[in-house]
Amino acid sequence: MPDLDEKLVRRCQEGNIEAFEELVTRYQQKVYNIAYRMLGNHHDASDLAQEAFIKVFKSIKGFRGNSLFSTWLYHVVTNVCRDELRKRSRYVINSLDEPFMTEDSQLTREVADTADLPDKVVEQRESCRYLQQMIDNLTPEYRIIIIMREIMELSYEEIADILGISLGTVKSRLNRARKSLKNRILEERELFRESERLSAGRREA
Amino acid sequence: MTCQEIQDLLSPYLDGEVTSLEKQAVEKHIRLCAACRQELNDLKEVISVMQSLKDVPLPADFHSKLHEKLLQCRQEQGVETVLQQAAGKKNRAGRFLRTPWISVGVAAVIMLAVLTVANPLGLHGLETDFFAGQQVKSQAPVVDGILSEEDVNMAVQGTGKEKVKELEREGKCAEAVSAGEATAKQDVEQDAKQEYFLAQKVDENASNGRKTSNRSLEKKPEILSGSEVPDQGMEMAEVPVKIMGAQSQIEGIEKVFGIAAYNDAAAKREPMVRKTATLEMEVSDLRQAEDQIMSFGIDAGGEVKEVSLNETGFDGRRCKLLMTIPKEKFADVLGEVKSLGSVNLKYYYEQNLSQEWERASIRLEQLTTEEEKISYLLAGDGSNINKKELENELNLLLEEKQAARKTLSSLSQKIDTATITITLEQ
Repeated sequence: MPDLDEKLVRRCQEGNIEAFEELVTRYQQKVYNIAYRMLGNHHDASDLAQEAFIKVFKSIKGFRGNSLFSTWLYHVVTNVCRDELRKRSRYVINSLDEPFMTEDSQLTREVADTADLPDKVVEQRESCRYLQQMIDNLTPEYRIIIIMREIMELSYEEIADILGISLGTVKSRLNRARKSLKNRILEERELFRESERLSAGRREA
Repeated sequence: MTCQEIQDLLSPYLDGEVTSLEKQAVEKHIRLCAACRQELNDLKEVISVMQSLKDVPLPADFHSKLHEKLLQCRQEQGVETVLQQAAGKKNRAGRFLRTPWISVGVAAVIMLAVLTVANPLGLHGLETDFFAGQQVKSQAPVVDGILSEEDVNMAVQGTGKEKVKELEREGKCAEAVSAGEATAKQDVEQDAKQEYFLAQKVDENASNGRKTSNRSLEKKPEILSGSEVPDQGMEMAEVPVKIMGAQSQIEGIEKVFGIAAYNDAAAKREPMVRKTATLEMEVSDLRQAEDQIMSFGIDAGGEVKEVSLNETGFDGRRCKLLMTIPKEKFADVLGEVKSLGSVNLKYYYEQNLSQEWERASIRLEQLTTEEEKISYLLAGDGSNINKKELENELNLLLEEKQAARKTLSSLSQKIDTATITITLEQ
C-alpha cells in the first residue's frame, strides 16, 4: 500500500487534485478517528481532521518522502489536535473553578439523562462514553500514545516516527499511560457500579 | 530483576516489543509474583477494553465539505500566483514612473512612444502608482514592463535617432528625449561624466527659474564632446505641463545631485556583506549539542532561537536552530559549532549589499534635497506654481523618505550581524 501512496503523492505534487482526493478517501476514516479520540466530540473532530488534510495539501509539494505519507499525515493531525488541546487547556482551568462541577454531580446527571432509553443501548452508550471520558482525562501526551497504540494499532516504531520520540520513550510513555488508565478505570468502575446500583434501585422504585 | 523493573516491561511484553531475554525474565517472574501477575492481568484488561472501542463513523458530509475546502484552497493558491505575477509587473511599471522628477522625462518618452509607436497598453493606472523610487541607473530593466526594451532603445539610442527626432518634432518634448537619452546612455554604460555634463546644463536652466529646459538632439554631440556648452543653439521646447506637473520644477537639481552623490559614494565604497551559513550535522546527543550551541551564541553576544521544522521537514529526531551573532564572531562560532559533530552539509553564503546600501543612501540624500527645494518653492511668492500639487509631492516625498530610512536600517542590521542556521540530527 505505501507504494500506491507514493505514486499518489507524486501525482499530487504535479498538481493533480484528484490524486489528493484519493489519499483523503484512503485515510479520512483513520484521521477522523484520531481527531475524535483526541477531542472527544464529532464537531471538533470534523474541523480538525479537515484542517489537517488542508495543511498536508498545502505543503505536499515540499514533502520529500523521508517518511511514509501516512506517518507524516498522522504527525500533522496529532499536532493539529495537540495545539487545539493546548489552546483549550486555559479554558478548562477556568471551568474547573465553577461550582457543582464535581465528578459526582456530572455522573449523576448523565445517568438521569439516559433513564428513558432501553437498557442495552444505555449500557453500550455509557460504556463508550465512559471510555472516551477515560481518554479525555489523560494528559494529551498519554492520550496520543494510547490512541496510536490501542486504536490505530500502530507499531512502536511507527509511533516513534510520528511523534518524533525514541523507541525507549515510546515504551516507557505507553507503559505509564496504560497504568494511569488502569488506575482510573479501576477507580471509576467502583463509582460506576455504585451509580448503576443506585439508578437500578431508582428504576425499580 | 525487581518488581519495578518487571512492571516497566509488562506493557512492551504484551505488545511483543521485548527481547527474548526480557521475555523470559518476565515470564519467570510472574509465575512467582502475584502482585506483578495481577498488574499484568489489569493491563491486559485495559488494552482489551480500549481495543473494544470501535471506529466512530465519519460524518456523512465530511468528504464533500473537505472537497469544497480543497477546491477553495487550490483556487486561492492559483490566485496568489497570478497576483504575484501581476504585482511583479505593476511594481516594475510603478517604480519606473514613481521615480519622481528624474523619471518624468523618461515617462514622457514612454508616453510619446506609446502614442506614436501605438503600443496597445494604455496610460491609465500608471500615474497612480507610488512605489519607492530609484535612480535612473536602475531603471533600464524596468522599461520592458511597459514597452519592449527594443522599442525604447530604438527610440532613444543611436539607430533610433531619426525616430527620436521625429518624436521630438511631433511631441515638442525635447526634454523627454534628452532624459530618455540619458537612460539609454546608461544602458550602454557610457561615461557618467557625459551625463553629469548634461545634468549640469539642465540644472543651469532649472535654476534660471524656467519650468523646464531642453536641448535638441542635434546639439547633443557638441555638448558631449566639447568642453563648452553653447547657450545659443539650444532649442527650447514646451513640455506638456499636465504630464509633468510640479515635478519638472526641480528636476534639474535631482539630476545633478544624483550623479554627484553616486560618484562620491562609489569613491568611498566599502564592501557591505551579509554573512550566512547553513549547517546540517549529526550529533551523538541532541539535547547536549543544543545546549552547547545556545551557550556559544550567547557567549558571542548573540542569540539562538529554536525554529520548528516545517511540516514537510519532519522525519523524526531532529531540531533546527537559528543563531544570530555579531559578524566578527562568525568564523569563530562556526568553527565551534562544527566541532560538535559530523557535518553532513554546509552552505556558506556572502551577499554583497553594497549596491542596495548605496542606492538607498543616495536616495535618502536626494529626497532630502528635494524636500528642501520644495519647501523653498512653497515659501516663495507662488505666482506660477501650483501649491497644492507641490504639497502633494512633498507628502509623497516624506513617505518615501521614511521608507528609505527603514530600508537603510534593515540593511545595516543585516550587515552588522551574521546568521547561522543549524539542523541537528541525532
